[in-house]
Amino acid sequence: MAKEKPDLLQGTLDLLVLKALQLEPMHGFGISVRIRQMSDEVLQVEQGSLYPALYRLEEQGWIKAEWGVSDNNRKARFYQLTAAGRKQLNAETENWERISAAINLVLKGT
Amino acid sequence: MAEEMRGHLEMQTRANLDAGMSPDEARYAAQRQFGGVDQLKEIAREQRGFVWFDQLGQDFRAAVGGLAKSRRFTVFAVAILALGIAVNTALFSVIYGVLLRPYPYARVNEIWVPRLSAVQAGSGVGGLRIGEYLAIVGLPAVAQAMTANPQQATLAGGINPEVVRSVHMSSTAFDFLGVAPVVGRTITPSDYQSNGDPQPVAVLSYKLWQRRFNGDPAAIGQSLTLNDQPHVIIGVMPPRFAWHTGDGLWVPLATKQLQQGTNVLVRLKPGFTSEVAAQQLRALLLEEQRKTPNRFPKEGFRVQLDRYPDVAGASGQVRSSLHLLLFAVGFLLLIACTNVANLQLVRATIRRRELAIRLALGATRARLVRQLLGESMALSLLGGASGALLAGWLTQVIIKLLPPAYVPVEARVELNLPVLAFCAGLSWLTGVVFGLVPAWQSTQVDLNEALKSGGHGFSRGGRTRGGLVIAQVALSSLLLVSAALTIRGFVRSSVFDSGFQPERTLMLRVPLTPNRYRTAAERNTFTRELLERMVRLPGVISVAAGTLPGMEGDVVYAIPGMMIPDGARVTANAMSADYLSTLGLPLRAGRNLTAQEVAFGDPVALINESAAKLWTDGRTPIGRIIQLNVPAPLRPGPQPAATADGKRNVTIVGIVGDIRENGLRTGARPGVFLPYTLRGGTQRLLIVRTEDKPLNLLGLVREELRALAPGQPLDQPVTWEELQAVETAVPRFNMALFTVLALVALGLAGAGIYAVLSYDIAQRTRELGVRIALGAARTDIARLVLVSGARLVACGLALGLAMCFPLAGLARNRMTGLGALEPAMVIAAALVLAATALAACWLPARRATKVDPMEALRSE
Repeated sequence: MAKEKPDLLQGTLDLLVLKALQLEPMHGFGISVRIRQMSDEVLQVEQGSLYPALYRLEEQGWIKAEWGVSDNNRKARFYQLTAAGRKQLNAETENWERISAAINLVLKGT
Repeated sequence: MAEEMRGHLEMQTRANLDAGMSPDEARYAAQRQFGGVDQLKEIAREQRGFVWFDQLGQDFRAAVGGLAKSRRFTVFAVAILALGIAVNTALFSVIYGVLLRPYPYARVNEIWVPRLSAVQAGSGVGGLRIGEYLAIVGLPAVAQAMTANPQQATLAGGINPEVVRSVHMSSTAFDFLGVAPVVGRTITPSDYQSNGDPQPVAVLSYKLWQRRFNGDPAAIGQSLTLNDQPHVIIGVMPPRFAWHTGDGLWVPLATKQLQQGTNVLVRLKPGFTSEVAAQQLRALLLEEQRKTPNRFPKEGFRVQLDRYPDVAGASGQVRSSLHLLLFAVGFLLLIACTNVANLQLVRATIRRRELAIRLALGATRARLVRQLLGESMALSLLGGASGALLAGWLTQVIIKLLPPAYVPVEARVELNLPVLAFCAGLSWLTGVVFGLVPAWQSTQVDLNEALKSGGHGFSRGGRTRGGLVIAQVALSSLLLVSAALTIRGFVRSSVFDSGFQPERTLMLRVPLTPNRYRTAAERNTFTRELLERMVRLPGVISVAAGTLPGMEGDVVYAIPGMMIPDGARVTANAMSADYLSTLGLPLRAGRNLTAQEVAFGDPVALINESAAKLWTDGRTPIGRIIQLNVPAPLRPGPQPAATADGKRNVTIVGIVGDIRENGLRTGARPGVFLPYTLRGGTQRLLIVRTEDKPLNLLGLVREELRALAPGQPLDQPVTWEELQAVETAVPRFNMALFTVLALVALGLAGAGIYAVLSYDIAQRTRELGVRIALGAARTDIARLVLVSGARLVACGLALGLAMCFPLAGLARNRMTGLGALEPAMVIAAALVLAATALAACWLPARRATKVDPMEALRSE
């Protein structure tokens, strides 16, 4: 996997992760499962992309992590949204809707 | 993080299992999905902020690895750095211990010494007296004052009574100096009775305590007999405390004799400057002058306060030569650093291809610079550490070799913390400075050019390298020349003609203390008996008693009919009848004194050649008069007239050769030799000319003396050869140090030349191979290499030798005993340097001739 992803995709993944964490805190594996479920098996996030995204989001202060115990009694790191993260989620969602609408317009045109 | 990943992997595996895969499949699929964990870690790490820290660790490890690979280079560079740093640090330790902090006394810079000087240069002023000391204590500017009066005392007990230095200290002196005793207590005002008389107590020096009591703390309370008076021991001072004596003792000062001369020191109250204090002291002394005008010069006197370290510390000559040494050592360090810089440059050039490839693969320039810098820092750390160890050992060696004249008794030279800090700072600095330039240069690599194979001839940076080698050679030549100078100075001082024949003479000081011999008559009788007994001993050729120039003070004199400059003095020495023959002093003109003239103390005298020059009218001084302060002669008859100030006429009957008592530094002072019966004085030097080794007779002489006068102490005997060794100690030390420095510099310069030439040959292998293939003879190749090396050396020599003339002039002003720079020395230094350079070029040249053309053409 390349170190540099096209900016659009990276931003999108961040958005998905934030969305996945909207309801409750989850560990990495759970987030990838969640995204798969929510996208109806279309979006399969590789761990290679997921964890860098998680660390990046943590760096920027939109999610925070804690060590906890998972269902199978294993130690795992649970991520949850911070207040700033929630605001960022709203902002990015708006942004995404605006951009995708614009792209659709362009594609529909002749 | 690893744990997190593992947890994720497990969960994925479980999910796969649930989805129906077999356990192996499940795990395999999970791992495939996962991808490389390490790469993940890398990425994840880079997202974090701790990136730089990790990278630093990586760089350091890479640096150490890189250094370990090129082991020869590393060892070479570390050795060079260590040597330079060690020598510099060791010398700095010495300077710190000798010049900066030699004294253990409290706040030494605040101790002031009053100095009286006459307005008219030359006429003397007496020192301060006890009465004045007592008044000084009460001056408004003075916070504390002390006085100490060093004297000799006879210490009884044991096999031999011995003479020790007994320093009489005022009641608050120990408090003034602020050093605590190791055992017991010091002298305090409580040791004085109510009438002002001191109690008979004594404080021992550490050495004396060890010697007589073996360091037993029970010595406190025991009693010592000094000058036939028992004293109670109340304390012992630490080894570094050596006020006026290092192996004597201190007793309370009796302040009854107000007229006794003494040394005074003061500490000032805050807010008072030394000038104000001097004025107050002057006012006090003007009062004194009104009461006793004879003590003070008529034209007036000045009072001034000097700081104690300036007065008592390492003398000017010693100070300046230590400064000079620091310069020389600085040169050495420079040479070492340029060597290391050169090596760095060479290595960087070798690695150009590697660096270019790394740059191409995406490493940032900053990262490369960081790694190169890391290498040079690791190098300098290693160099600094080994340098510190070497410095410790070197300091011990220097301490053992230091001549006693250099060092105040209280000084202790050791490798201490400020010095270590200096060492560490220096090593870090050299690492950074000399690693930075090559590092920066190396990253300015043109990728294309570097990736193409091989360089040719003096590739990029050659001029810098050449320049560095020239600088090394120049500095080395300077050090060589200075070494030559010091060698010459030493040789000259050790073979100087002292003026008489000192071999096989035994000299002992026989102090005639006032306790035992109160009058001059008693002293003279004793001396005569002593001479008569000693001359009868077997193995004795002749015996004399008297003094040598410098043992007792100079005296003023007058010559009728001549203007004598104020303050001009002659040495007045005592002699017995056989003085000349015992010492081997040549008689240049006239005649010797007769035994009767000596016995009766007739006013006749001999003068030395320097004194003979005082009569400037061309006629011989023999038969003429010189006027000195001497007592009336003993022979009955008409007394010769005395002048107004008590001088009597003394007739000159002969001229003797000069005794150069101060080595070559000063010529002989004009001196007069009077019969000892006339001269008086309490010092006698017993001079015995022996057939055999002088020290063999020492036991006999002692016995004879004990038979004549039991309890009469003898000072330590000394042969003239030993005295001479003291004279040459300073030049010998200079010579040793400078020679070592020069040799080390030579070695370093040679190493530098060798390194640079080897590298260049390695670069030119291809070219050399081509030449050989085209028919060049091996000797041609060798010549090629030698010429390129010789060119560098010649430039360096020229530069160095051009600089050495002005610098030598500068050095001569500051360091006595060096002498003029002679062409012979310069040529000798140049030859030595050329020879070393030749040797350094030889090995690379040989290697060049062994180049196999086929190999060369095939290799890069």
